[in-house]
Amino acid sequence: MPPAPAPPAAVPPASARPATAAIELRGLTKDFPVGLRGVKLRAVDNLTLDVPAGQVFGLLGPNGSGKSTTIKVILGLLEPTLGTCRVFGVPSGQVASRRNVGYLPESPYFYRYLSGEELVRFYARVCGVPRARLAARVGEVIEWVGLTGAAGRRVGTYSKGMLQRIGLAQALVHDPRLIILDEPTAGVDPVGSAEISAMILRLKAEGKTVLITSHLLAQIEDVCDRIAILDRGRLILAGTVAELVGRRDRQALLVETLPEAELAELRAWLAARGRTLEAVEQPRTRLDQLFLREIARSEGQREGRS
Amino acid sequence: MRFNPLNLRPLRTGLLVVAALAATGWALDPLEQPAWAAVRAREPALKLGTLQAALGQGVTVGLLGGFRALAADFLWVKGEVLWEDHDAPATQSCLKLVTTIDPRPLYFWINSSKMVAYDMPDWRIRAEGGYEVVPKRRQQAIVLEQATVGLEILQEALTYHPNSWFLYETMANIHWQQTKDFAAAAVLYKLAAEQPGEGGWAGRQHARMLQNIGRYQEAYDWLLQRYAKLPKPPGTPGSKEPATNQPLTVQQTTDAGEATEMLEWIRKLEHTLNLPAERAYQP
Amino acid sequence: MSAPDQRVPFSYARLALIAGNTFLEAVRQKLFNLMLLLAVGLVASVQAFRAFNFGSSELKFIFDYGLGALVFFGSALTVTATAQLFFSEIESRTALTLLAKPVWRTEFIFGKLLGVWAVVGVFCALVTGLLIGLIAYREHALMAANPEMFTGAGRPVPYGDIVIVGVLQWLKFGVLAAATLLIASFSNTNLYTVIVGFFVLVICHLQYIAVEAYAHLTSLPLRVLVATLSHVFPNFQVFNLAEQIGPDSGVDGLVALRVAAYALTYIFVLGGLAVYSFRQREI
Repeated sequence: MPPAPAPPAAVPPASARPATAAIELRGLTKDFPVGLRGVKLRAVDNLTLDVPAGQVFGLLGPNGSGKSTTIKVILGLLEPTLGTCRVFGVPSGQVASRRNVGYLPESPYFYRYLSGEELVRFYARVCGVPRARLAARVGEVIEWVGLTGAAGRRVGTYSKGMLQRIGLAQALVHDPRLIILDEPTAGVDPVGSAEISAMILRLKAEGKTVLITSHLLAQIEDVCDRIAILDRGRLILAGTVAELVGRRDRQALLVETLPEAELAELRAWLAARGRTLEAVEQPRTRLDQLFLREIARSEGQREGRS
Repeated sequence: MRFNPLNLRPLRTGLLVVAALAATGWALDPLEQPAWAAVRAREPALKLGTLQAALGQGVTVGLLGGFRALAADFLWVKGEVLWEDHDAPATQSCLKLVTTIDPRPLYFWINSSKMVAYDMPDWRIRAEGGYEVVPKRRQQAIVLEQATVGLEILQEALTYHPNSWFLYETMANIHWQQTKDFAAAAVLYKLAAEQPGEGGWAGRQHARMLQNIGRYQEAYDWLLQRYAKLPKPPGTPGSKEPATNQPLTVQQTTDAGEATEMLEWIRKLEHTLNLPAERAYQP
Repeated sequence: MSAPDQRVPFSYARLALIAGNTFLEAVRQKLFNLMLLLAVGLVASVQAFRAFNFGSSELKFIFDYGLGALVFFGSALTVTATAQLFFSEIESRTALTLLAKPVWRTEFIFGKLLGVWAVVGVFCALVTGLLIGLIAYREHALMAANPEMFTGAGRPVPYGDIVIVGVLQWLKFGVLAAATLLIASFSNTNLYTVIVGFFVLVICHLQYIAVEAYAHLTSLPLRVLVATLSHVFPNFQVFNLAEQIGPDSGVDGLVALRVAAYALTYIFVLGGLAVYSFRQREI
């Protein structure tokens, strides 16, 4: 990925802004009518949730848990049946609530007949980026997502990973404070997925709020500050990743491999203090990290030969 | 079953849309009516009564604005193909459909009547064995039958184009050439001559028909009236300007020829009527 | 917690941007090119019918035929392109991305409408231009070959009226596009929209029959019902104001302006109702 210039901030840094939650959901309920006989499908059920500004927030849940519906309500694409939804304090039904929001839909489809640059320029103009800054801003975000070389190509010829990147560029072009990424790594290979994770962390470093849904739980764990888990439209768990995943009453010690005699000594030493050695395991490298390391090494060798 | 207000929304929206459109329709009546009146006056095919005769024959499609012209044109071409095949019933019904869908073009009426009155008798006589085999009386009956249908077409055309000299002249031609009813032809040629735009031929034909049935005095009086109205270039009898050395224009030469020819005809009729020289016409 | 003042006013620039993008999408699709090719092919093929020898009526025939092509393919293009351009946004989820931006649904709907209308405008201009060129070419040839047909009652072609015909049809297509968009705003599928759109096209051409019928009804409630229903649909026959060319077919400018106002009002109202319906649509 090329070195990325930080997108120029159109809004004051997070520290200078009032401590408004980026998204506030209060008792949000969304029903869909099914047929004409009064049957309704409850997609989201009394959801109350805050997404704090400046954090990366993961919204998790199995298929049909109400993640996409919640996102659509936040974007004003669906009207809540009950409850409220505010984005930076503005009700999500108002057009103004979307002024500071960038959205990358799941499996994004864009106007295939436009080039990447034309597409980003179109959305930049829709979002009201001033003409004087248009060309520079479009160039910046395209470079930021690493698509400068392919910006002149028709979007219809892009790979899945490139589509996600151009999608991210269009979501960022008006320098929004909140970026919503719906399954940003769906169908993307591990390399592309890792790049997207890196981008999310850079956005966080720039003070942006990121709301992300993903099936890749490892990715969520790596990048998110907080998560919420939904099931059948209901919130079943919410909190920081550290709180939810970490075990405060247990510790893992990483040492060089011990011979069996020394291990027995260690057990005895612990037993003398009323402790038990619960597990002795061989630590493993995560498969995605192994994959990325090997791909990087292979590419390095190829470049060295050439 | 529980009441769910979500299900009422489409109904409410639908009712509102219908109400808003109806209100718009009423409000726009003052804009619509003058245009509709103008279209109505020009397009007699839009009358409900006319439609009923042809409904179910594709006329509905033919009514869709410009589709009408296209549908009529396509049917006309189909009629021409049927005409080439000498298929009299199919041609006749196809032509009828054309004039019902689009009665505006005169050529549909004129050409339909000509096909029916002139071409179809020939097809029928040939179909029955040819001119040598079919008895003269039968041939005459066929010609009369077809001429009557042709005349009916033109009569209907007059309801759409009441001032068309071309229609009257075509009717007169059928009486003259097919039914040999010179009296009826004379009346129709006169009517043609009285319509705006007629070139003069129908007027002369009126006199010719009167002559054919021995009504010389009427023919003579008619020609005198016509002669008085003819343009007379310098040097022709009756002209107010004397002949000059300047050559006549093409139009003046034609006018002079017509005037001279008509005056000669008048002289012949004076001779036929045995008018004394002092009562002869003096231009 | 107070919301910061960051209102997003309605923007004509955004509307124009969406319209421009819709136009670009349409002209890059096969549908537009196919319709244009068929219409141009049909107009150009009129030369093939010269074998039937229409004589002096040939110019009228070419006009009728060309107008038919304009109306037929123009209607088909309007209904299908409107439905397709709307549903391509919904089905490919590009609407999701666009409406997740600070964009009013009014800007989206009117942007789509203006984009389609611009496409149909290009279509009308090209076909009308071709028709004028073809008529001028044949008129020139016929005048050279048969000068006598163009004297006296002969009729010079009123090219201004042909342009008015093109403009009136374009206005009608604008109303049709707005009506199709209204249907699309609540419909779930492209196919349903296209079918209902064509039904509306037929009804709008025939609604005058209902108007005529209610004038003869004796039952008051029935009269009110039929009158209301007949006012729900615009009368597309008023756009046929200049459907005939010839000496008696001059278009009254004032009436043409009223028709234009009629069309523009309907486009605005139907577009507004489409916005109303679309605002309730869950994407």
